Amino acid sequence: MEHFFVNTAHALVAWLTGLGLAPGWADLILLVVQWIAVIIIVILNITVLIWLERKVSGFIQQRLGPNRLGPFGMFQTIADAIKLLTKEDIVPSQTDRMIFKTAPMVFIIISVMLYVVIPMGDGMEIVDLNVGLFYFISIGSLSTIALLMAGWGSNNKWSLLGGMRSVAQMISYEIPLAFSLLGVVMITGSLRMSDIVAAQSNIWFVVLQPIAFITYFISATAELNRGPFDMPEAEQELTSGAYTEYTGMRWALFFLAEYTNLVAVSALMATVFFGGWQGPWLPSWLWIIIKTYLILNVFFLIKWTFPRIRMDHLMSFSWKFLIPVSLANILLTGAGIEVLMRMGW
Amino acid sequence: MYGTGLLKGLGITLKHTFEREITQQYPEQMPVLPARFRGNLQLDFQDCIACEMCTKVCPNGVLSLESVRDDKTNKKKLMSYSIDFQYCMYCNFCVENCPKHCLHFDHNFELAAYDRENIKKVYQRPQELVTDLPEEIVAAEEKNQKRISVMIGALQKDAPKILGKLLEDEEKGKVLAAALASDQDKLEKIAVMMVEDIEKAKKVAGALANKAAKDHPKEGNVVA
Amino acid sequence: MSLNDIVFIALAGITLLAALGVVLSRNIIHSALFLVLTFLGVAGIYFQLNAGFVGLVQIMVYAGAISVLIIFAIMLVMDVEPDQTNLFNQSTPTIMAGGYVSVLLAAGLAGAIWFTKWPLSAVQVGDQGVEKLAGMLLGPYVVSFEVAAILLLVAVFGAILLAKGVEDK
Repeated sequence: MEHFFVNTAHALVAWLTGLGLAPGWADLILLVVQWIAVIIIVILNITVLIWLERKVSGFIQQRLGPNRLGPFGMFQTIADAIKLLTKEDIVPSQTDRMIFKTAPMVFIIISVMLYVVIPMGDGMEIVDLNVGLFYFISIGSLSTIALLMAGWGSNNKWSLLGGMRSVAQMISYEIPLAFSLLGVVMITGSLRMSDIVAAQSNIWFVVLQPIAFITYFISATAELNRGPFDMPEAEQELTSGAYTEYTGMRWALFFLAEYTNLVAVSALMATVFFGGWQGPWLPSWLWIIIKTYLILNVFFLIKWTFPRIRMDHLMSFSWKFLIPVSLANILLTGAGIEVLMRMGW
Repeated sequence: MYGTGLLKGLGITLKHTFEREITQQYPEQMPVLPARFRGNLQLDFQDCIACEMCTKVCPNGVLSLESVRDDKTNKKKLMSYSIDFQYCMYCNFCVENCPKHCLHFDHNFELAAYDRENIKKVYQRPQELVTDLPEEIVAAEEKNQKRISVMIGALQKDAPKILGKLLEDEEKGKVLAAALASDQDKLEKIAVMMVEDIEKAKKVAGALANKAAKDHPKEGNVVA
Repeated sequence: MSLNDIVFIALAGITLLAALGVVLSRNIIHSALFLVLTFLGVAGIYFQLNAGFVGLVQIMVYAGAISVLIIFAIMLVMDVEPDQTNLFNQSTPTIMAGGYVSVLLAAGLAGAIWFTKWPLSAVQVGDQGVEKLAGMLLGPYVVSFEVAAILLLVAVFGAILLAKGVEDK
C-alpha cells in the first residue's frame, strides 16, 4: 500500500515509453495526469469538507447539522452543487465584464497551483522544487490579485471595499507568514519540501519552533480570509465582500478556491510543522491526510468560536505584534543554531 | 496573560462539541409542550349555555355564535359556534370567562391552512342534539333537510337543466354540470345554497361556471 | 522544435501580448492587470532558465505586491470614467516624438543584444541556485546587500512620515 501511487506513476511512464514515446513527453503526460488527479482530489475533497464544516459547526452549537440527504447528510453538498449548477448565471450590466468573468478562474487556478509542491506521501510531490516553500508563499500571494479583480470588476461599493480589505489584510499577513516559516528553513537549511520533511524524522518542528507555528497559524488564518479574520467577507456590513455580485457556479468557484486554499495551507502546516507524511504503521499518504484533516478541524473550531475582529485591530495586530514576534523568532533561532553549533552539534 | 481568554473560549466550544444535541427533529419528533400551552381552541358543545360571555370578552371578535331560545324552559340553546382563528391572539380571555368551562386550548399547534375559509372553525349542532331543541325549530330543520335532499336528488338527475335555469343561460348550465359531475361535494354545497339563499347560489354558480369554461375552453360540455 | 522551444515561444508570446495589452488598453485597470500577466510571463521565462528563485521573487514582489500597489494607487486617484483613463494622445507632435523615442530605444536594445557576446559558463548551476545566491549575498556582497536594506528602510520611514503629515502647533 505504501508505494501504490508512486508505483502506478512509474508503471504509467514505463508503459508510455514502451509505446515509443520520448521520455520527456511521457513525463509531460504524467504531469497532466497528476494535474487531473489534483483537480479531482480538490473537488471531491470540498464536498466532504463543506459537509464536515457544517457538521462541526452544528456540533459546536449543539445542533445536528445536515442530516436529511444520505447517511449523516453526506450528500447535502452534492445537492448544493447541483443547485448552484442549475442557477442562472447573472452578470450585472454595469460590471467590467472581462475582469468580472476572469476573477473566479484566476482564483481557482492559483489555489490549485499551490498543490504542486506539497508532498502528499513518500516521494509523492508533483514537482520537488528546490525552492518549494518559497513557491508556496509567492504563488499564495497572487490570490490578492484575483480578489482585487473580483472587487473591482463587480463595480459595487461593497465588493470593492471587500476586495480592498482582503488585499490590505493579505499583504500585511504575508510578511509574518513568510517570516515564521523562515525559522524552519534556517534549521533545515533548505527550501525543498522533501528536505523539510526529512529533517523532522526525529522531532517535529512544532516542538522546535512553537512561536513560529503560532504566528504561522494566525497569519495563515488571516491569509485565508477565514474567521475570526473574515473581515473581507463580513456579512453584516459588506453582504459578501468581493463575492457579492457573483451567482451560481462563478460564486461556487470562489467558494471552491477558498476551501482549496484552506486544504493546501493545512497540508503545508502538516508538512512543515508536524512531520509531513512521516508516521508509524499507516501508509505515508494516509498520514498526511489524517494530519491535514486534524488541522482543518482546528481551523473549523477557531472559526466557530471567535467573533470577527475589527479591521484596524486586524491590521495593527499584524504590523505591531506578529511581525516583531516573528522577527524575534528568527533572531532567536539564529542565536540558538549558532550556540548549538559552537557546542559541537 | 494574553491569550488565556482565547483558550478558555476554545475549551468551551470544544466541550459543547461533545455534548448532546438539543435539536428536536420536529415533523418526526413532536416537541414536548408545557401543560398550559395554547394551541387550538376547543369547545365542548353540550356544555355551552350560549351565555355569550366569550364573544363579549374576545378583543378581536374571533368568536361568534348562534342560539335559539326555548320558550318552555326559557333557556338558550346553542345552534352553531364559530372560531375565526386568523384573528385569535391566544389571550385566553374566553377560556377564563367561560362559566361552564367548556372552552379550552389543546396542544395542536399545526393550524396553518391553504385557504382563509379553512382557518375558520365552525361547530354545527350535532345531529343527536337536534331533538333537544324546541319543536318548531326541529320541524323547520327537518323540513330544510328534506328540501336539501330533494334538491340534491334533482341535481344528480338533471343537473344541466336546473343549473341552466339558475344561471339563466343553458350553455353555462351545461358547462357547470359537466364540471360538477365529478365533484359530489361541490354539488351538494350548491344544493344547500339553492335551498337557503338563492342569490348567493346564483353568484357562486356563476363564478364556478366561468371558471369551468376557462379551464376547458374547447371541451365544452364533454364530461371529463 | 523541442519541448523547450515550444514552452519558450508560448511564454514569450504571452509576455509580448500582455505588454501590448498594457499599452493599448483604454482602461487603466486593464492595463495594470495586463502588467501582472507580463510579470508572470517573465517569471515563466526565469523558470525556464532554471532560475526558480528569481522567478518566484518576480512573482511575489512584482506580480503579487508591486502591481497591487499600482492598482491601489490608480483606484485612489481615479475620478473619471474607467473607459477613458488610458487614452491615446491625439496630437501629431507627441506621436512623432513618442515614435522617435521608442524606435531609438528598440534599435538600441536590439543592437546591444546583437553585438554583445553571450559567453556560456561551463559550470552547471543545477538546482542549487538558492544556496549559491545566499552564499553570495551574505558573503562577498554583504555590504551592498545591507546598504540596499537600509535604503528600503529609509524609504519606509519616509513614506510613514509623509503619510502622517506635520502636526499643527
